[in-house]
Amino acid sequence: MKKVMLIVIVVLLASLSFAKATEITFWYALSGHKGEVFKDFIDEFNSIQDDIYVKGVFSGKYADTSQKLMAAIAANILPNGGVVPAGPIFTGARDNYLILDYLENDSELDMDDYYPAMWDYARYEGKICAIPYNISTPVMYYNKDLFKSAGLDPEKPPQTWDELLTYAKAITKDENGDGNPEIWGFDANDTPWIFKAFLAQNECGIIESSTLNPLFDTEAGYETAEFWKKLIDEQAMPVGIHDIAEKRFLGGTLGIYMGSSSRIGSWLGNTEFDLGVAYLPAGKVHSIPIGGAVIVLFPYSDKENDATYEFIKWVTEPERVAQFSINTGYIPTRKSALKIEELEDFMEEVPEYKTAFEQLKYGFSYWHFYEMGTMDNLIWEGLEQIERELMGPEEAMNWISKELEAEIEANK
Amino acid sequence: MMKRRSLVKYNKKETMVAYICLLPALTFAFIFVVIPLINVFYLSLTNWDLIKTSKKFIGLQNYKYIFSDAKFTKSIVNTLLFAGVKIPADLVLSLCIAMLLDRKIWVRRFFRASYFAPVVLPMVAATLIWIWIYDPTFGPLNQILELFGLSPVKWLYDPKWAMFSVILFSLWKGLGYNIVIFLAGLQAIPDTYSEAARIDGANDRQIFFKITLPLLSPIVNFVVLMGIINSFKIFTQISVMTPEGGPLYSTGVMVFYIYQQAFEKFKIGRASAAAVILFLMVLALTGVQKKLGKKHIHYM
Repeated sequence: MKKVMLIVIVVLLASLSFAKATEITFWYALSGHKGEVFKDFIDEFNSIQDDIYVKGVFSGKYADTSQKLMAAIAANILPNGGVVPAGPIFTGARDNYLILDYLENDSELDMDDYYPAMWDYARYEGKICAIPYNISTPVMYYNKDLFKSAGLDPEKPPQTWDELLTYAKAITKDENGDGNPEIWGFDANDTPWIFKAFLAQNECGIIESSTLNPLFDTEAGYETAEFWKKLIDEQAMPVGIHDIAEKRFLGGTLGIYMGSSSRIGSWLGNTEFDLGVAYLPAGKVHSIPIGGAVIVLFPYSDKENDATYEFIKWVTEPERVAQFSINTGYIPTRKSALKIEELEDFMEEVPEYKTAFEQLKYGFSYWHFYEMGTMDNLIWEGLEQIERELMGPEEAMNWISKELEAEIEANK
Repeated sequence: MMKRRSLVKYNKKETMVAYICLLPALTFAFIFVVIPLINVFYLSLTNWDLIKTSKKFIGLQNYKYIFSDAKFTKSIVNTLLFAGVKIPADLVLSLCIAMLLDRKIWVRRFFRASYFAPVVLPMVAATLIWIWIYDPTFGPLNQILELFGLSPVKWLYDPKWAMFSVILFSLWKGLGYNIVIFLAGLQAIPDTYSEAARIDGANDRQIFFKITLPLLSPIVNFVVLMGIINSFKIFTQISVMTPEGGPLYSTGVMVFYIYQQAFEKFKIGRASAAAVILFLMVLALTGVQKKLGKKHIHYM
């Protein structure tokens, strides 16, 4: 009797383990509605096949996800994969280029279907170690009502730096005459991101990706810093209240705001004023630094890795990419996604999205490197020094370069 | 004054029971406090960054770096400034308000509740409200100033005012907690003492300084101790109100510096070194405070 029982149990266990799908854990740093869209993808994937079961985990916003990843590395409990910020730092910097093997061996994938800037955003020391996923670019939002009251044509947003300066100056207004304008022409929350856009528009490479040589202390860098100072000096942009730029824009007291294209969806039709969305104005050239999160793969057993890539492959197919863009407003990462009918119709319907999506042809990115966060901190500080007149534009750019070089050197 | 109860000898069985009851708490403290504490000392001597696989022992280099970093020294000054202004102001204000609320005044319950309300508000929510109050152009605070003919202040966005703004907010947020503690202390003092003094001809001032304050001294001691600990670990309101450490790093306190090094720059070694310095500072200060306190504490 005992023997029979034992056999039954063994058979049961064996059949269970055979039928059991490979379970993988997948994090996503997408909150709110965007997170739900991604969760729906996971549910759909789980329902259309039986071999793989993806356990989706919302890992918090970008900063929280970074912290959780660091903790997971220390505790050796990384997920199988995820949509995470600064992905290459968590993969390439740890010698994990596994995803590249999968990409190269994927005969159905044409890597040129992604924009080159996208791949640059997924590189560490020149090698791809992630797949671009929820990508956004800075776009220019503007308040058409304020344009009108300043005597500007609301259908003609500024297209060059000069126009940006003159338009913003025209919008700035000191209504009670106390010397502190109540309405400002131009501002941005994330000044390092916008300043990097200006640098690139002035043909300054920001940093040489292959040698990590900072390029702030070049003629192109100085000119950009001088333009920043001009915006301050001519009262086109306020000093030191960047943190509340977005709030002020939504409150109707800021004419032009530059920020992530991922706001389009939630702002459109919900502002008290007539909202305009446009390309960033061009300097010498058009250029847009891309930002956002990427898909990464952390190595476990071959079976789990295969399963993880299977899911990644499915979720980055053009149909899903298009669907994700329509539902979230993130930039479609693949050219073929733009040709999918639903997305074409969508861009027709909401031309503001077309602006953001098409802008990608001017997108650029440097490769991920370890001191990226340090660099952004330094840019913030350098700009503050310029705005408060503690350093001249040239001096501030030299300072950023020097500090950054020292930090990169110290980490080599 | 009453002498503290001398230690009673417990038998072995009782001691065992005590240890068993303490075990869960001790285990937690050991895993989440003692081990990380020791680890931080070790990490501060390495170049570890949590992400890369290498962890090299680099001696005192992290300490050398942070002490040559102007921002770290500034963060020490900022922390001391915060504690130095907030603790005394908190003490005086909460004691005064507690004394007032201890009297039989009109709608006393309402006042008690309203002073305590900010304490139970979530920190981030309260901070967001105050960001609006501090708005440089449209904030109610500036509008009040303008009513009195004063020129508006940029509050959080002016290097001279940013720290003061954070302190003012923190006072408002934490006052109620100390008031409740002082109220409890005041109510524990029997009326007989002050009545006897009054019969002997003492005035209000004498009663306060000779009777109430000395009898409150254990409470004052507690409030100061908690004040030191809480002021040195202030972080949330700083990071929400001034996400980059304020204009020209004028609100960058030590914990904020540690956070930036660890989670924005991925420098765990440097962050650990700064944490060790913070730990030593708090240890020294609470030590001094304990010594001073011993001399002046009176128990009923």
